[in-house]
Amino acid sequence: MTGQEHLIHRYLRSSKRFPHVWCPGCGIGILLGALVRAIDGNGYGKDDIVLISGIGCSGRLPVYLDFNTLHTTHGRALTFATGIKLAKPKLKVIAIMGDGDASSIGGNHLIHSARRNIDITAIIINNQIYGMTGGQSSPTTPFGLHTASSPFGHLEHPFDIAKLVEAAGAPFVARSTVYHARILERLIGTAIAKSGFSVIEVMSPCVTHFGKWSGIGSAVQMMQWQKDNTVSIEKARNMTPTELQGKVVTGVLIDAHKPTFHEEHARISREMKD
Amino acid sequence: MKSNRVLLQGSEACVRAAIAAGCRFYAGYPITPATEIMELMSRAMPKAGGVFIQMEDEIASLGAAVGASLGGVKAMTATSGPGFSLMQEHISFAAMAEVPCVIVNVMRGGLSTGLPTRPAQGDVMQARWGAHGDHPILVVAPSSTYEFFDLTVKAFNLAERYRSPVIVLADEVVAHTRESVVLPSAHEVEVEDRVRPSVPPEWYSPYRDPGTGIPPMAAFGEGYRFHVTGLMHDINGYPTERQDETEELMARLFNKISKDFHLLQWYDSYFEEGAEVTVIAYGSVARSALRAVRTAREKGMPVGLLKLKMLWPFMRRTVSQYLQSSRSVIVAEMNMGQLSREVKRVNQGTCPIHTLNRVDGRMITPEQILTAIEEELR
Amino acid sequence: MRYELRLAGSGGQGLVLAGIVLAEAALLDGHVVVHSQNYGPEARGGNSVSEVIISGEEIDYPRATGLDMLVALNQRACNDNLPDMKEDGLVIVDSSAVKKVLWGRVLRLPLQRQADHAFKDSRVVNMLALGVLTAFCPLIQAESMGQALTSRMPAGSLDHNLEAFRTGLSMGHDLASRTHFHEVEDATDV
Repeated sequence: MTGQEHLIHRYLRSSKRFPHVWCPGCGIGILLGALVRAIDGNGYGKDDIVLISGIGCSGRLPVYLDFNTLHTTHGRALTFATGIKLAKPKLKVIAIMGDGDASSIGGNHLIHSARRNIDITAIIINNQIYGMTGGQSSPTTPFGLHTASSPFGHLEHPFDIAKLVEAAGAPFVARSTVYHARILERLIGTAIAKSGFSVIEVMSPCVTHFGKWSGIGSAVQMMQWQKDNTVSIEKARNMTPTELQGKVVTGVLIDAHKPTFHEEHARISREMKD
Repeated sequence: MKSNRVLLQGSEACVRAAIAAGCRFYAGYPITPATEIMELMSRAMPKAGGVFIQMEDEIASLGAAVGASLGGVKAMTATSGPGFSLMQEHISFAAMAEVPCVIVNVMRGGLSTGLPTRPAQGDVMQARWGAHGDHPILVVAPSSTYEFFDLTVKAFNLAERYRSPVIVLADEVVAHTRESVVLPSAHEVEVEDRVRPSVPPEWYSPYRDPGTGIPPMAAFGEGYRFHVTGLMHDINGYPTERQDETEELMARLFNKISKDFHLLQWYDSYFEEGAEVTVIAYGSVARSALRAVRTAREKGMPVGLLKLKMLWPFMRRTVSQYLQSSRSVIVAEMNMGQLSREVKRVNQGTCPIHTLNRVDGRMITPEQILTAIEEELR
Repeated sequence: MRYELRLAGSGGQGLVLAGIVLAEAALLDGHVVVHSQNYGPEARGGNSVSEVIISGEEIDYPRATGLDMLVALNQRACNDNLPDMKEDGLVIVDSSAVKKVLWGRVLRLPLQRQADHAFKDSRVVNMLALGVLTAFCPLIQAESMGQALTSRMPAGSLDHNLEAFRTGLSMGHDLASRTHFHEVEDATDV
């Protein structure tokens, strides 16, 4: 057994029935690996972490891992996460969501969590489509794309999730892809260590549905697409808008500081006691 | 001597009760006529060492409350009809995942946005059946400031005892009316806490029936790492579709409350002696009914009042007895007839049941009930 | 014994608070008391009703069944609430805002004018009304009202409000000493 495998096995639940639910070629497994390595790298204990998910393919992630895990309702992971964080401020709370989960049905919770700066790390797995329900268009589906629910081409325009949460006030926003697994791992580590609402948008292939509808094709081709179409923020700064068209900008996009909700609430409680 | 009688609004009594019962987390969203509870909580929670948060909507409010409860803290939210509709999703989750929490619904007039500042009792069925999927639920209904205190404490105790969401179904009159009351002091209040696991973490199965039907509940972050989901789950909390496991879970969810039906007959009976006609009422209507029944008794009419304090599970045993002993029954409620359907279901045709309904945002008056009584006895 | 009072006017006139103070005073005097309020959706304007029931025993029905006293600060409040009066109930109205009162036992006082001119603060109309009401309510001691005001009003404006209350009280006492309803069929004006 390699060191990598050994590490993963330490964090997987031995009591959980496998195999997992994800399709071959799905990016969520790579994200899971990066997440585990990031947590391990930061030196947190298993009891320190709460992993919370909503509904969709991403929603099934926490159950495989040996942390405090909670699989909630569609779009609402952040609301439960808020309650847990405030009840137990010492816990590291990580919410795993999909693009439809976080930015459609959960869009309100996403922007308000960012605004109130609740100390949670939100990992948004963006595969640009509803995977579990069979390939319907999501808020990040490209304009014009044919999907199971946009048979004549998608009539709507996609969200830029990173920009959305930036505008809503998130003090830490980063983006990466599952192709860049090592960079992703580092970004997750930084985000978890960061105090306040941190968001990582993870571009991830849904081979089964997005691969089919977009015509990009197989798992390998989708990985290749990620490699070819991403530009680091450092490079992007020196590129023209025309050059950046169709590119996914990755890296740490926002890194700021502002007081978190639970710190401010604790201050009020202390003042009331005095 | 300083009297310990105080002038308190129903909402204030509810908040004091929550704190006395150990509530240390409140999440809510402003809505008339439940806003007072939220505003009072915004001061009371930090003072009591708890947390108050105003969420972005009612779905989020109950989500946060359920989250806090999983973190080991007693949690509550309060709302009115429109917000209560939004909460149904998480009531279902809390019932499925067996997370104790208290939801106060101060019922207001009308359907949709209706009559925000006026009373009604239109959410009786929503409280029972509003959340999707078959689920057990506990619902209490206070009729006065004192009962709002008493039943809020008891709601927390029920939530902890049964690991269930519990709904306090108040109405605008009960929440807004101020009354001179004597409330029990903190040490007089009986408080129940959820049973925590006594086994070491490696032996802990979060949904294993210990024989009582109610599994001990660990809090997140205290060494018991476990999984919670709204999916059908096995005794470890892991999703399952196995027929033997889903069947067992559903049976346990219902049995844990139904086995205690005999303990959940919460009511007050007035002028039971020789009552030929029984008025059945709950919430603020029970007060109009009491006035009407008193007046009727003064006039020599053989009439009694059964005030229900527990609406769900429906008190079949108790209500059946009154149906058997009465010549006829009047069910008075501020809706088009909701709890009366249950009374009729339990009745099985043995006793004539008359309904008295009002849905114009006004209380049912004692005169209306008295008239109905007189008609019954004519 | 059941004594029912209602204060009616428009939102923003502080009637809910006045009713709470009245209820608190009744509590201090050892009575069983219920206070309820009724208001429209508007924060300002619209109808506002504040009601107090005072009793020696448990109050079952928490709403008025026959008003012993009504304070009406505008014409609509007066018209709307007169049907709820007890036969020998007393109606107190603001004389500038309420012109027509189809009721026998009526007291007309320039409450709003007094607030505007003597106090240069239209908001104290509720305190003036409370003062007048106290002079005519057999169950409430003026001292208890003072105590209730102290406990329910913000400290910053307490003196100002207490002064308005006392002014209302002496207006009431003054009127009470000169009023004999059995002699005057219609209105009593000051």
